[in-house]
Amino acid sequence: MMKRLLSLLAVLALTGCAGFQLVPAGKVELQGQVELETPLAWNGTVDSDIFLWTLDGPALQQMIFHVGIKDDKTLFDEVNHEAKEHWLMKLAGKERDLVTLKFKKSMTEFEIMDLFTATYTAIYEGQSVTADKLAPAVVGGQPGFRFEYSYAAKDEVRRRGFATGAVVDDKLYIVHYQGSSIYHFDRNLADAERIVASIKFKKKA
Amino acid sequence: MISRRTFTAGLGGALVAGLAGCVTSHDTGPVTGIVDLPAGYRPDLNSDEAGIWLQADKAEAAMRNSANRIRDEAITSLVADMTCRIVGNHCPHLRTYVLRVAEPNAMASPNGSFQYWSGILLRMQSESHLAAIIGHECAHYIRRHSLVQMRNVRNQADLALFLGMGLTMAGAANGMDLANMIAMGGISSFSREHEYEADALGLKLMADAGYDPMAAPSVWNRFIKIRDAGGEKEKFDFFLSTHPPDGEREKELTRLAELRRARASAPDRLRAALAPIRPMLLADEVNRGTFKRSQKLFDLMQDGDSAPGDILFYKGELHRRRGKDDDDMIALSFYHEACEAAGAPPEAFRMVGLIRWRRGEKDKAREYFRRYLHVKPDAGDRDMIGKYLAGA
Repeated sequence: MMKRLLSLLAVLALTGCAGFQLVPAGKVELQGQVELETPLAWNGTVDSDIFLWTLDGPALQQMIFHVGIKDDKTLFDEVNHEAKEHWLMKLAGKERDLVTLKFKKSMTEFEIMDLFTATYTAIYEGQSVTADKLAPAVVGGQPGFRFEYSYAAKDEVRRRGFATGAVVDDKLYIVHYQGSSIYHFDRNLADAERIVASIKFKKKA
Repeated sequence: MISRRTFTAGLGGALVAGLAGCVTSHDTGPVTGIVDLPAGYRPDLNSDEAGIWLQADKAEAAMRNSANRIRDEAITSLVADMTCRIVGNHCPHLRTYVLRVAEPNAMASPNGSFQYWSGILLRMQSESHLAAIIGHECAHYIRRHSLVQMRNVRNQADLALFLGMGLTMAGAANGMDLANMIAMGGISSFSREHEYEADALGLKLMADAGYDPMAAPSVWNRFIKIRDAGGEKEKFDFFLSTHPPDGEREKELTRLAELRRARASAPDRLRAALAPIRPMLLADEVNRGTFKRSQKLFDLMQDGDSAPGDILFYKGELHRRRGKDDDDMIALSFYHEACEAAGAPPEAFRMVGLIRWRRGEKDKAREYFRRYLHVKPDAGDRDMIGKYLAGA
């Protein structure tokens, strides 16, 4: 599944073992920007500004943190088609007919949700990620958003998830949790909720 | 030169493609050299044909239960009904599946299972257009192209091995590579023959069933327009292309269609049958992330459509997602047009509200948020809309 994922998610989904380390229960700091507390230990890995945690393997459940996405940046390098264009092709106006999905600091919550679903649909090789129930939320004391999503990847496993986040100092922070609809999502939903509730944004030095 | 790895991959690919003949002039009789499939036929269990049927049965079982299978009654019934009209006495032995895949494709398997991807349905202007695709797939099935292609791949692989060994023993440098290239060329050109044959027989089948034969070349004309809009040239390789060039297919189909009388009274139930799922397919098209090709498709779809509200909305979505230069304003203009047109999704009102909110036009934005909630009172995002109405 998810062959196209050259990014972190792909490697994890394919091999299930690349670069994982124990994330012990307790306090965790991400990129020096976010603090949180997890009630249980996870297997975790990181690539740049993306942190991925799982208990039984990414294909069964995972919690992903996109930390501090800056204005005009993508959620994954994989979907940054503009960056892959050769400068000569750009100069000649012969770029490939592919849209790069970027976060813009002026985006509304609706557009951030759309950015999330469109990006992950691309990451899952066109398997449509659909979202619903967008609502206001408070994340780390900041006004933010929350929505639910679902999809079936090419392995035909139906998955559910929720995402929550906020734009703080013009940077986007999203954390989302997903698992198989039939079992894993429900099993650790409460743990994921406790982690989200513990999030604090670190103040600039 | 073609490497052994490429050749092996090519053989594998050719075999897979052969198992599911896909969207192919031939008017001198079958190129397969075997009899057409008799209605209700099942292969002998000891035959090589039984092997590919078993694989097709397995693939069909997965497709039947797939999360991506579209089960909407209107479109699935239409596709099944059209297939029966076109294929005649094979009808009781066929199963058709519509799958939610945004890429344009259709496939016929040797066991009688046919799959049509949603991306190809969205590209069809009329029922006759779709009949051209279905006729083509039925022709692959009737002419047993999967079986013949599998045997050809096997024979070409044998030939490559012997020829390569001979050339190598004779001292030819890269003897195996040369043999592999010859074999690959043989496989690809054979596959192209099948495509031409399926084009010709498909046109006959659909025209005999009462559809407009000119729709067959028209489908290819549409595909070419969309491809060209993306600024990409067609990649045709004599050794590796399993399908003929699009332009040649259009030309040959035009010649064949002109030999038949045009049907002015062909049925056209496609627009109505697609209506319940069209917004979903348009959203999937936007999710492909191809701006120019999707824009061209939407332009072609909008031409003559009596309720283009959803098309206008997704044109707006194309621009908003791209987010360059004046895209926000262009998107706003499309959302406004959508709001005034028949067939607009409620989200058109919401998007007008959001863009106006971003522009600081909060009163105007609230007006459109209220209109959104008026037409969609149970909207899943009503709490968020409520926040904006209260002042955000």
